[in-house]
Amino acid sequence: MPSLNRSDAQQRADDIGVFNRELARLEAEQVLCLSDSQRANLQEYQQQLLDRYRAAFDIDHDTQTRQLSLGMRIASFLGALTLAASVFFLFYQFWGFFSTAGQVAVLLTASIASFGLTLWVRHRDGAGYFSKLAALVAFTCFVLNIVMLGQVFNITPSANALLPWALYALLLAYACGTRLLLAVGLSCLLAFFAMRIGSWDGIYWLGFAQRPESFIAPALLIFVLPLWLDQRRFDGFALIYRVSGLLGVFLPVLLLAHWGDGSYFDFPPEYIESAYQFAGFILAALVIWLGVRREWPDTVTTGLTFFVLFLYSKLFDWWWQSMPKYLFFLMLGLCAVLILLVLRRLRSRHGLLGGAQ
Amino acid sequence: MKGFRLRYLIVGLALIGLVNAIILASVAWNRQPPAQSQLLLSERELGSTHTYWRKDNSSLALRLDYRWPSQADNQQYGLSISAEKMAALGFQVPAQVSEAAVSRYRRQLDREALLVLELDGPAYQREVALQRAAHAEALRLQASVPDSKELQDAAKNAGNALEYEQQRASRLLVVDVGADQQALRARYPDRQRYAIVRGIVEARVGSVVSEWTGEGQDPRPQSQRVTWLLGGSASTPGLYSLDLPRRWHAAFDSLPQQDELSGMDYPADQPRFTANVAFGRRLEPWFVEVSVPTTKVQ
Repeated sequence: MPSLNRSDAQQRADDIGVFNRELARLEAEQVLCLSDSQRANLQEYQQQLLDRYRAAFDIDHDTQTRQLSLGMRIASFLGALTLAASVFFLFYQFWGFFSTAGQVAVLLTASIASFGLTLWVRHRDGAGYFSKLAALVAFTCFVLNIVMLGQVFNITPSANALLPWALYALLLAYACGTRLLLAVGLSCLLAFFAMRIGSWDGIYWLGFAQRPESFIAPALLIFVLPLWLDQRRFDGFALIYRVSGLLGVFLPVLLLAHWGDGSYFDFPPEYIESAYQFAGFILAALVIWLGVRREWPDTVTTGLTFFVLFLYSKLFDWWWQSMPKYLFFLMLGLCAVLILLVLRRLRSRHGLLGGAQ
Repeated sequence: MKGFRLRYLIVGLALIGLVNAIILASVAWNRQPPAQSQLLLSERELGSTHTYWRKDNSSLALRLDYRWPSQADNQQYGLSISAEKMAALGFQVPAQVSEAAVSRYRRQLDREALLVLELDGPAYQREVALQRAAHAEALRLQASVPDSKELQDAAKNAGNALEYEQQRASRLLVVDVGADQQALRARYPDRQRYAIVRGIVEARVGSVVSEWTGEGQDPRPQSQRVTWLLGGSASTPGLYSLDLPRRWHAAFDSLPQQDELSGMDYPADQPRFTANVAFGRRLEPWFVEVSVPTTKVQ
């Protein structure tokens, strides 16, 4: 199973279940009838396959286990957040009782120990619930490591810390298959590169947040990254890359469509806002087209969401003041119906979102 | 699979080790003698950071309190840095001031700069002289109309302000801003009195509406009524919180807090504590020595 991930294995197991149910129906309706030996061979093959998947990926074999898995995922996420918060406050609670050398030693030890523990848990925990939890705690320890060294030695705040945080989050994400940490790592990477662009020529590094255009180029790079680096072995990672990249492009465009003063371009703000409103629609339509073409439902959904956001914000600009409120909301409702009709047409034509699968 | 895990382990440990090594090396380089400057400060320049989560945070940090010299005409609307200085720092300052030019000036992003802090020097003496002159003027006015309650209060307030300036106000004042550290150091060579620190400069705009002195309603358009003042202000995020190492926590904790001081009689000329603060090659500060005088009158 060299390029199979947990999602693929779960999908195959689900397909087996669907196939068996349909087979039972066909046999009951006497359309198809397997001989005893065929049935035995089929069951043996399926059982072997499912056993292998269970051993490798701890997949859910029925609805009940799937519901329990969902509960475990939620518990793992909440546990990770609360444990990370606990580590944060633990540091501060006892921080003042150590000498400077002791503080450095504690920080370094915490980073190394939590990283080692994460890899050890990953080795023992096939499903990954506990290793994901440990990975988030390890990431918190590393963030605290850098932040608190900065505090202890009064180091001038700088955005350079974002790069090691990004690299460490990505490392943990790939080691443990944690999508949350992948998103965190990509966000840090995006902020770091946006800061490098924004702090050009003596500009203070926090200024990058006041020029949303700084995010667009690095976000596009993140979006296309999974096309070059194969992510099939990592469950849902390509989706996180695409959605993070799209958010990094769409959010600045949406912001600039209403805040022309935030642009690098030295044109009147109203021109800039109009240009970005236009660009937002074109971009959203392009993204939907690309998503349909490449069969990326996540890309289609993100494109659609922003298309609707651009449309509604534009309608708000045009009509909120001039129209009676009942008419304004009626227009919004009619727009929603129109979008539904267009989508239904696309769905029946291209099999969008699985329509023709 | 095992080789895969080993690779993660090696890369992770290398990353943690490398990042910590870079930070510690930069700290060591910053603290290599001689220090860029070393100031002997007291509680007048080092305020408590008053962390609101003190019970959950056992560390102790102090804030470097500095101030800008008073403006002579009191009309500068918080513009601590002149337009000429802003241009020298790399800001685009318009030659012709119009509403569009002001808007373009205001939307420029903050820039990094260096601030020169002067300890107990001519700038501070000027502040004391200003307060003394204000007090003398208030006393003169009070003497000219002895029954005026308002003038009595004004004289009392001016006396309190003078006492505050002489005994409790920070003696650390920003005397210059620039981008070139060497040029600033050449201009301010005394390292025991002048510290150069990193700061952030922000473009700011003030406006003054000129009064209409003619007959009837003011016929001037808005652009002619308003005079724009271009300038800037600066802040130092790196100096908001200076970590105090543990060896001085006990001495510091034994000091009365600011709100307890009113009930105690501290000699006016004796500081509650003195701290020798050095600024290194990267202009990052650290405490070299903190001492608490033992003679305390209760």
